Amino acid sequence: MNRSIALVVLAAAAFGSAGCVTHETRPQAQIKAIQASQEIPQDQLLDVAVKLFDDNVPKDEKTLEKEHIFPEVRKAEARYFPMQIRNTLEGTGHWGQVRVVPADAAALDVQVSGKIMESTGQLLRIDMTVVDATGRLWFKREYQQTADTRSYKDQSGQPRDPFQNLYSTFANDLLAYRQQMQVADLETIRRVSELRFAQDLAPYAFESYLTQDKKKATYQVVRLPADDDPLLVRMDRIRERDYALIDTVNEHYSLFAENMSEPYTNWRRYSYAELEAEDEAKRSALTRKLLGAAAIVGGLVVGSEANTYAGQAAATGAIFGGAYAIKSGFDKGAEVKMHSDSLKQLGESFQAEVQPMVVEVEGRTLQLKGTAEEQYHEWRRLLKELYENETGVPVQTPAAAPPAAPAAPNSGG
Amino acid sequence: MPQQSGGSSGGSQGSQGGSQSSGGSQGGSQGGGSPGSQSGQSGQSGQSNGPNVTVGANLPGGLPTVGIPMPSTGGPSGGGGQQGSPQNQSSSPDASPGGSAGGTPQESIFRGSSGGGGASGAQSQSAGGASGGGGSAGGGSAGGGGAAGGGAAGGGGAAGGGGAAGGGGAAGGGAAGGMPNAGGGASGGGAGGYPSSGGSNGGGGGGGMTTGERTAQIDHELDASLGVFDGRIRDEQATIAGQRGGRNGSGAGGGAGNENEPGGSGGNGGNSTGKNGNGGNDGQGGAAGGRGGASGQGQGQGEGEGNGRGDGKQGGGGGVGGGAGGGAGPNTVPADIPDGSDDDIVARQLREAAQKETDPELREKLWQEYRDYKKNTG
Repeated sequence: MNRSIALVVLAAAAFGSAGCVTHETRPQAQIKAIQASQEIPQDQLLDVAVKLFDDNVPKDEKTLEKEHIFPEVRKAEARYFPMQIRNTLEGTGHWGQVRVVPADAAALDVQVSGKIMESTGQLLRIDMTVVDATGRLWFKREYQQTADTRSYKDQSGQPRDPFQNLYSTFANDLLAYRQQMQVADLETIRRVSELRFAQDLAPYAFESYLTQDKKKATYQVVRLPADDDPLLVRMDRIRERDYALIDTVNEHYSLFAENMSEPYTNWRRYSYAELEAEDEAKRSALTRKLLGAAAIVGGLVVGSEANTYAGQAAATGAIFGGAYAIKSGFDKGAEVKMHSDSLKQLGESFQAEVQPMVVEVEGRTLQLKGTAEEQYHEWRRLLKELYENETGVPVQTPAAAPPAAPAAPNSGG
Repeated sequence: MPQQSGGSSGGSQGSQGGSQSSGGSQGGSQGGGSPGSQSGQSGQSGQSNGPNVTVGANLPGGLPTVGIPMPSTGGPSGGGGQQGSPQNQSSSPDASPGGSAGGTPQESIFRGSSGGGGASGAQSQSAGGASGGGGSAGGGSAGGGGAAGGGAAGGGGAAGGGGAAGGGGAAGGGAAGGMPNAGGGASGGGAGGYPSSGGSNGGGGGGGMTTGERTAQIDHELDASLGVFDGRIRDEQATIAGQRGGRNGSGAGGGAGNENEPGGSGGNGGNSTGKNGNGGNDGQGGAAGGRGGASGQGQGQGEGEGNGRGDGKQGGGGGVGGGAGGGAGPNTVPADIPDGSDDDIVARQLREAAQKETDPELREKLWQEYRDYKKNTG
């Protein structure tokens, strides 16, 4: 019995020390976002705001290093992924305007937010949350996908995103949720969204139209303004500007994503290769060490029991082989470190490249936001004057209204 | 920053402050030129009912606060204008919150009757470099603003009468002065236009205004403000398109800017840097050149008007290099457009929007809007 065990161990050791452990990544089946087959009525088309993601950068340096997280790269990804989601959603035709907006932007019909849990060239894991303007939580789910390696092999100008399956899956989930809603629900969402905007600009005139359940953070329409309410008409005009503003902000993010795309794809490609090599080196090192140890143990056992010259020779060979395997395991450890250093260099290099892009897009966005805040402040004032003038009812303004302009309804960020 | 200047009442009394700013007096005669434009006279009555609401608002793009007077219920005649007090010669950009305009607050809601005299110009004695930009602007419209502002503000609610002029006056003063914190109309306050000059500008606007007229006036303001916003958004989108074009290597129209020197000959430095300041290599020239042209307009305008209406900050900031790439375009002000020295805030915003507009068709629409507005308020 002992002998047979020892032979198995020896065989395994021989196999292991030859380094035959392989790890193969197969191309994945492509998931496609479901396309609209017919036109959706205008009053059921929901606009979607995809907020900039939470970059979720750990503060601990060791964690950053261990998990190969580069803060500036994460920041860039927090702007890049929403744009991919946006492009995917927009391409389906199931939605109205889909825009990437700053994280603190106010309500559009549907708001998508995300938190990056893990992002490497190998794996993407994101927590996604969807709520609508009424405050209803659609769903909160974690999405995870390993990279589709075809994208890394594709050297053409516009390879499919290696994580496109994730975006498409999300788009399909979003659609599935919307499809189980009643038409009235969709219309209510749009109405609440409109009234929330109006309420933000002219609370004295619109606060009575909506009630908010503060516990649940949900909104309900109490009554509706007349279609020809002059203040509402003006509000619509302002909202058009608000849309124009967020479209412009969105354009900045879009340009940013375009600029980032190529170097980011390259970074992910090389990172993927290094991560794979690192993983393999790690596996190989561990295997060699384990099997080396097993070979030594097996050799000792066989040696103690062998009565023949051949048996003794085999045992001695196994012990030497095991020792060599362990040594090569340690050598592989050095290889792991080499890959790890390489990943670090890659990350730092890309981080240096992408950082100015992030700074620029954020600067532009802030600039726009500042302009918008000034305008919104003025519009609020004019709307108030109009309201007072038309109704004869003076509006009580807060006693010590801060001089700083309040944030634009949708342009925050 | 906007201030809510309470409608301090009290007829203007000592009115010794002469209008030292030529703009002020000039404006006084223009803006307050309605009945009761008693520029330079001591206001007496203080009975022009001030409005009960005063609002200061920030204008976009660093423009100053504007006071919009509310109409008064129509008390007796408005307070006489009080001239700017000479001691208010602060170089601080903070305007005094409201001068001693005629009228008691809280008495007025709508329907002003008459306003007092227009105040003469504020003491546009702002010191310091700020007056460089502001000063030039002040020469023209700030002056008008000063006076008109006085008028409107003084009249308080009477915003009406002097009405547009009055209301606009305050704005004009503030805006053209390029300084923040013009007092609110209601306060009667001497939003005189220049820093801290508003102190004692009283004076009433004249005449009344129906609710409908007032609504139309505010709607005009809203239109103008929306127009300005539209212009900015278009500019921003043009910039993005330029960057996108540059990124794609189109480089159309490039050549003016040297992207290796941000803001170099391209003029509008901030925008000409392109993606990473190395656009020369990848077609950034298109965007840079384009922006250069835009900034050229600023300078051209400034020179063309002769009043320094280049806004100081725009003309000064973006001007120099722009000339090379710019030149043509919306630079030209149509012949029938007045010099704008008596522009109120709405007109001013319309004018600015038109000047900045690069699309000829939209530009003409904005000029038409400007003409209409001037006709209605003139």
